[in-house]
Amino acid sequence: MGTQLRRGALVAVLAFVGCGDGVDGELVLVLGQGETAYAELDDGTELPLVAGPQGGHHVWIAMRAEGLSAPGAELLVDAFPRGAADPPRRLPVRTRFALLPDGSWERVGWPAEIPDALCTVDTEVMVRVTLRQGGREAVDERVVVPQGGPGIGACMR
Amino acid sequence: MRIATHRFIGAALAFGLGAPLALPAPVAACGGFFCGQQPVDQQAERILFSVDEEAGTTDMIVQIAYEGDADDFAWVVPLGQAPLDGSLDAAFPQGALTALDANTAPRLFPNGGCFLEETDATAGPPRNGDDDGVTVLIREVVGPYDVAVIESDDPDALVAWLRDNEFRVTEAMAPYIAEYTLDPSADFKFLALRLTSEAGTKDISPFRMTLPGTAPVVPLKMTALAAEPEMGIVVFILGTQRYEPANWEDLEVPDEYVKWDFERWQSNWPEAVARVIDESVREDGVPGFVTEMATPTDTYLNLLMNTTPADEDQAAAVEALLEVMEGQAYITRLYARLSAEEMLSDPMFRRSAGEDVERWREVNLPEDMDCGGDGTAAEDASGPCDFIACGALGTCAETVVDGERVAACACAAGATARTTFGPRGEVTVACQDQRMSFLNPGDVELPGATPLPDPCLGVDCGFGTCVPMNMTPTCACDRGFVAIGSVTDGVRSTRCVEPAAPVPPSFYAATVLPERPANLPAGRAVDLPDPPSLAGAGGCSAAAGASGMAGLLPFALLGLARRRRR
Repeated sequence: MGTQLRRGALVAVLAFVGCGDGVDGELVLVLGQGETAYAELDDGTELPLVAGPQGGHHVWIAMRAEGLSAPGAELLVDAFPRGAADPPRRLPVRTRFALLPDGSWERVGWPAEIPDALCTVDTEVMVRVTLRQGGREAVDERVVVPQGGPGIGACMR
Repeated sequence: MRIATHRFIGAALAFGLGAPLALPAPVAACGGFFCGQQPVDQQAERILFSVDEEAGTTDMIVQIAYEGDADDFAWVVPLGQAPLDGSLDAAFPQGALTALDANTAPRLFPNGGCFLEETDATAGPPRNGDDDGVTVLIREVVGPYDVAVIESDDPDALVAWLRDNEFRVTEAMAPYIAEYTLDPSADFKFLALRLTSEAGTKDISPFRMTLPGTAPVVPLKMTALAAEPEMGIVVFILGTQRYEPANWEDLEVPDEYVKWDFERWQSNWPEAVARVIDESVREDGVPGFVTEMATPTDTYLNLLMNTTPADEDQAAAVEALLEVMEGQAYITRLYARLSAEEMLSDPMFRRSAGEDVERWREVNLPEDMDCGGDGTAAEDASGPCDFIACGALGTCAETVVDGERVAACACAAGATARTTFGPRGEVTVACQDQRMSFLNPGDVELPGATPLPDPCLGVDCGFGTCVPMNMTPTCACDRGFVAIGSVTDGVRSTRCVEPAAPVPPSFYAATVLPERPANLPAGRAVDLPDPPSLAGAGGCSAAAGASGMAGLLPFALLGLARRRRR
């Protein structure tokens, strides 16, 4: 698993040494998919759009990580049309990863909100996730293709 | 101050607020689904979701609890999408939600010790179009409610429209409406309810709507405007399988947190849930829900179909529950107890691959418990502090009142103790973030209104200072003192008294106000006292400040410098 994790990671940065968690190792993040279980996510994968009754539309992503020193970490999840200028970053949110038997960490079923979602159906959308803990940061991203379905309306533009 | 009748409470709610709810009413004849006398959280909000994956829709049924004047009633909820045409309904019986609550609540019983078995028994005119920059998507009368669903890119226009149409929107609500309106991730709509001129508060009933989408979300952020501390939220989700929180945590209550009170023959389950959530918020800044029960619906459907209603109300409740439950394979019940400062995001729920969760739980008693029958058993099994939830910014300490050990709360700097009602309807006290007061003395609640008076005038906190919180007097106790609450003739009062044993200094060193997310308003600034010594507290304030990552260490070390916060 460790090899797979490292292959998928794009960036792992040691931001600074200060009041961290005492862990000096590399923080590694691999972006996957799945509402109830982790699955690998390749660039270009079609993912169903899900409408949250009160919260816009999202796709379900999942994450695996190495190097976390504790379950709690900070996430920034951005989604924007591929090729577009990077959007203003969404605010970080706190979440918790589950420790797997092999010592890596997993977070399943995270809603990655897709702005202007109905107009992104069948187009390429970049999903970029930043994981932070103790002054360290890891980033991974994938191109996904949102798909319509029951309850998903049409683009009105 | 009367309980829960202040105009602000009535006006600013997102979900109903803190009004005592009816327990399952005693009935002369008991039939099936209505026999349960299981204790439930009397103060909790109840929300029932029914997910239809084929249609891609979710029914949302929300209990609205309210005490106050009919003219002051307002209920405003942000929605990602407008409800489906014709889906608004105010006919779902309150009795159905109450019965569902009582029949799905956790059932705890002491195991071992002196007792082996539980002895409890079973169980306006329609209008559409644009209006001054506001699009009116739905306007209709639904039962006792005048309902509007509106949207706009301009939060000021939204507020103006609501006020022009006599939907009560206080100044405190405006920043939250702006937060949703300007959110780039979705074109939020607002559902607004007011009582029609013919309706009174006695006509208030659960509100139902069908929304596009299959991921239930509780719009909680606005609830922070006027939430009582440690407010209970019960969420039921009907669907094809179990559900669990997606962006919040799915928390479990450790066995050792659950205690048994032999005098009242009940567990401290609600307090144990509150403790788990408070710990999660304190440690990682993440709130959560506890899955209290997750099971196929067939047992409940059988029970409902074999229920003989004792009266028309029960018959209506059975019919409503059968209608919403039939065709759904699974029911999940989730429970949280939250204070305003913990309502940082709207919890969303997703399907879960987790196993069934039984509502039956054993409470493990101490193996060496004294079973002499002289009252010591109760002392061995639990103490007063097991039955209070002081919140993420507080800790329990015992004190003595009239010779009796009672639970009291010590609050962190920047927090204040507020007398409220616990899940069993009992008077209790909890610590609340002082920034979460959105209506303060001198404020003008509505344009043109008289500035509000100071509710602290004449209030004596003892060893503490009165702090008005949403026009309710609370007490910020001096360091080392603890708060107890009482209610006399409907008037809540809080007092700061000496604890039976000193409050550990480590509590004050380790518990500080979290950084408030930049996108969420706070009601007022709070001056924090000089920081306590961090020797032995594991502090590292310089680096925390240097990180520049708001919320990374939300409950640690961010309030150490003397500063004003908003």
